[in-house]
Amino acid sequence: MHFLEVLRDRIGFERVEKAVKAPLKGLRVGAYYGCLLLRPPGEMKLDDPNRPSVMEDLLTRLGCTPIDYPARTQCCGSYLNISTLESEPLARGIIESARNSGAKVLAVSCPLCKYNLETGRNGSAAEDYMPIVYFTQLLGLALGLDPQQLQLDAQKMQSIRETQPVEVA
Amino acid sequence: MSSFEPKIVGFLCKWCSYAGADLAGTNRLKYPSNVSSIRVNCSGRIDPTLVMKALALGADGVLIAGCHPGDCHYTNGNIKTLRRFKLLQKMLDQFGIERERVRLEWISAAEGERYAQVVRSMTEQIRLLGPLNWKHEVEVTA
Amino acid sequence: MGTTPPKRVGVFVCHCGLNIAGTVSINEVVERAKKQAGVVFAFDHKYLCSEPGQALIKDSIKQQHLDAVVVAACSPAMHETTFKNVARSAGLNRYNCEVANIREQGSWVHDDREKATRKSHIAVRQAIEKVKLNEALEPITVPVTRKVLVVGGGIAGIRAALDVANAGYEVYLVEKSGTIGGRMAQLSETFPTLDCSTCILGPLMVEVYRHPKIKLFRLSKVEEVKGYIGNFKVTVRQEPSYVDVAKCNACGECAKVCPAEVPNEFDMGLTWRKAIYTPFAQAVPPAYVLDSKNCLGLLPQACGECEKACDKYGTSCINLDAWPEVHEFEVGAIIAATGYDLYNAANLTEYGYGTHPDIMTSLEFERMLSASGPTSGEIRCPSDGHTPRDIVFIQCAGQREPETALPYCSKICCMYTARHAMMFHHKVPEGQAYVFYMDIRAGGKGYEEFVKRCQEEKGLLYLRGRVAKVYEENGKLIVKGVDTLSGKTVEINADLVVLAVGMVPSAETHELATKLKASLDVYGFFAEAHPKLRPLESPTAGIYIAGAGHAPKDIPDTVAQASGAASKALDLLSSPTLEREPTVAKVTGELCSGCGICIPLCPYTALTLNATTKVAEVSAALCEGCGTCIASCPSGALSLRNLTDEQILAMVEAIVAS
Repeated sequence: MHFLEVLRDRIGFERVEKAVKAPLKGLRVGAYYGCLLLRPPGEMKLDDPNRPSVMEDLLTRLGCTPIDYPARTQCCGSYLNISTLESEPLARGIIESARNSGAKVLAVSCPLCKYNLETGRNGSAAEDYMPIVYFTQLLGLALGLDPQQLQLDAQKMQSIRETQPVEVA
Repeated sequence: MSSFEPKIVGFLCKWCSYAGADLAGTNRLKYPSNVSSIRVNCSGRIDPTLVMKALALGADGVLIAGCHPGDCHYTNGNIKTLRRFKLLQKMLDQFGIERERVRLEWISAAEGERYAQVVRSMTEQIRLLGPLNWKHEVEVTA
Repeated sequence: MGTTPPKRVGVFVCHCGLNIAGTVSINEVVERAKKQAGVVFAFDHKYLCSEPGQALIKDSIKQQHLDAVVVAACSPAMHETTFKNVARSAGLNRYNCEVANIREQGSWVHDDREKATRKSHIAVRQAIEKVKLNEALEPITVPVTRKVLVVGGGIAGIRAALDVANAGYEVYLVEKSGTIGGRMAQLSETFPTLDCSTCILGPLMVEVYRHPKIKLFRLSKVEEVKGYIGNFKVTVRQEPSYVDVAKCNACGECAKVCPAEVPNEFDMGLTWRKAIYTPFAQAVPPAYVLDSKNCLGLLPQACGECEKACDKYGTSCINLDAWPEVHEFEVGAIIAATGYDLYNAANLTEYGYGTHPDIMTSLEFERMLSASGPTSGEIRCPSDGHTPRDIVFIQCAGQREPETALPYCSKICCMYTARHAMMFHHKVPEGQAYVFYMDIRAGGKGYEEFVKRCQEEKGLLYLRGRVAKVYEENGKLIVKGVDTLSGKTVEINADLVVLAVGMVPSAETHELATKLKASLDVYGFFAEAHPKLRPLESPTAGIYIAGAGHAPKDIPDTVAQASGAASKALDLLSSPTLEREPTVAKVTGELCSGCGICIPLCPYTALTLNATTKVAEVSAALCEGCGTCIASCPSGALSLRNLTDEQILAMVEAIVAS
């Protein structure tokens, strides 16, 4: 079972929402599924392979504003990126797509996706920076855990805090 | 007793399961030769007493195969078989006969592989249960 | 026990070339057979179904004075009729011939020679015991009602009805909608000739309407079918149209004032129609129809504006106080021509149907192409009405995909997509059509030439590859696919995307099949009696099938099948009587206690309890011989002719004897 399934089916998003101590104040997150999470659909049976919503549903409960963008179920290049550069455009394309749709943070569920997306962006320039975090890290933040415990480095945390819309009293 | 060869009587309905068994043959699938089939028009023809008599005459097992519910050529003969089968199972319990010896299966005319699978699994299951040997205990008056 | 001498049984064992002889020891089977009680003769032959094989049986019957024969060969499903006829030709009753299956359930499924041979012995012994107890039965003769019911008024139903009617027999044609014409009426042109569809269909529709032998029931559904081949009793429920067909001149004044608007099914939801409407301009009969489900209300009457508008011109064709009618009639044969629907494109989430108005199905595009359609034949984007420049056609949408959608191919999509793309270029010369395909299936007459012509003449871009995703970005539709021949991924900014979705059986197909007790295949289409050799009839006797309700097909094949089905029905009607199988249930009156348990079990209502004698009676004509009643009878009064309990137990003994 995938952790997302545990959260959705065994624990239930309702209970997760109740446990949230520090809601993420409308953080504009793009959920990135990649492909192995959803396909083959007959075997994985996690969610609709083309229009999934499980991560977005969870992120909404954590207080985020999930952003829909076309490339969220597109392949990141998988193992190819370790040995060749040819699949880099895929990762860049995903980040572009998310950025163009208004996402400020990308949430992933797989270390290989994270590696590919982080390595694939050509941005050393500050405005190119798109923080890639595990959805569990956002979950931890929302549950009130310490960013250091969650291995969220300063750069990522700054990005997250900056991009959260200011609360209007 | 791995050398024991079960004798299994199969009642196959002409429209679905017998055709499915034929299909297994057309596809040259292989399965044990322990099930001999009797072709009936509909599984609904099978009176539970026929099953009991078959066992009493020396069968180690009985297979009743019909069309999937909803597909019966005679509308719902297979549903009636299902009802009777439930009662038959209770009778088997009362006689101390293992339920696994009598099986009701839905096999369509397109399910050759499934027929082969049923024959294989039933033969092995009854081989493990051993011979019923009822004939020696009971005198049959037909 | 009478003094009838036991039957002299002859056993014939077939080699079937090496099919049986390769695994089963034929000699042993023959020798073993000779030892069975009652067997006076046993012989083998290489091919018993051949002329010399059959001659052997026939000659042996005469020379050995045989009373009954057992043929050990392939499955009875193959040649039982053949061998029974041989027996008859030699002077025996057909039921004095039994077939033992030693091939499909013998030599072909067991490798071990000894085991296969032993099983063959058993099969032969079973057949011998059964044939010894068989009664010499003669077929039951029943009269045939020489009329035909055709269900479905599309091109298949129309063709079948005309063929039967022209041969001089009465036809009842039942159609669910307000007009005949079906899907063909929705088409703009037909491939490969580019004939205007309504132009070639129209005259046939009129011919049906005017034919003295065809009785058309529109707005009707078959409610119940009782009886059996040659003698069906049909009940049809007809909804009222609320409009007098004879008086209505289709002026349309009623529709002008009608306040209720619903999506127009004929235009696949691209336009609206009123509750009182005409299905399309060339509808037959050419009168308006009130759709009572979408009318504001008739009970009590909520509106009535249409009636007033019609009265205004002194014609008063509308009568809102009308009721459904039930028609009952008898026919000998039924032809099912219920047609198709399109697969629900919303299931194909990768293509985004339903998320954007410019992603449409092929039938919707077809309506747009049509001069009588929502845009009078101009190609426009539904979103804002602009003329599309780049149009992407996706073939095999949700088809040939066993994992997620339909596993089969719908046969016509390659052809109509070529036509669509070609027509688009014709109407929008500066546009560019892209066609994503896996294969091009153009097997009919003139089809390949047509597709080539479309591709070459009109500059269509055919891309061999699948589309991964269709999505919207910055207000544009992006089609992300691949061109496998160049090995490159392709991204197209499309104005319009057309999905060639698959054909599925219409909802009415399932409804009708239940009422006819006709089998459906695994996809819900009408099943044919044999996929190769009997494609026009259902396994259920007296039911014939035609058109897309049987399987996806194009118009020429539909028409051919419809004429074929009509021919089969006419074959049935050609004789005033019909022979039915006599292997039916029988009641032994003295044993019947009148308990009545059997009566409600019969699906054919063939059993009745005689009120005077208090004994059950079987109608031999209605009985289909399933045997369910026999299994239920507590006193053993019911028996099934030629498959009695005695026979079954004799066969069981043959199996379990060591």
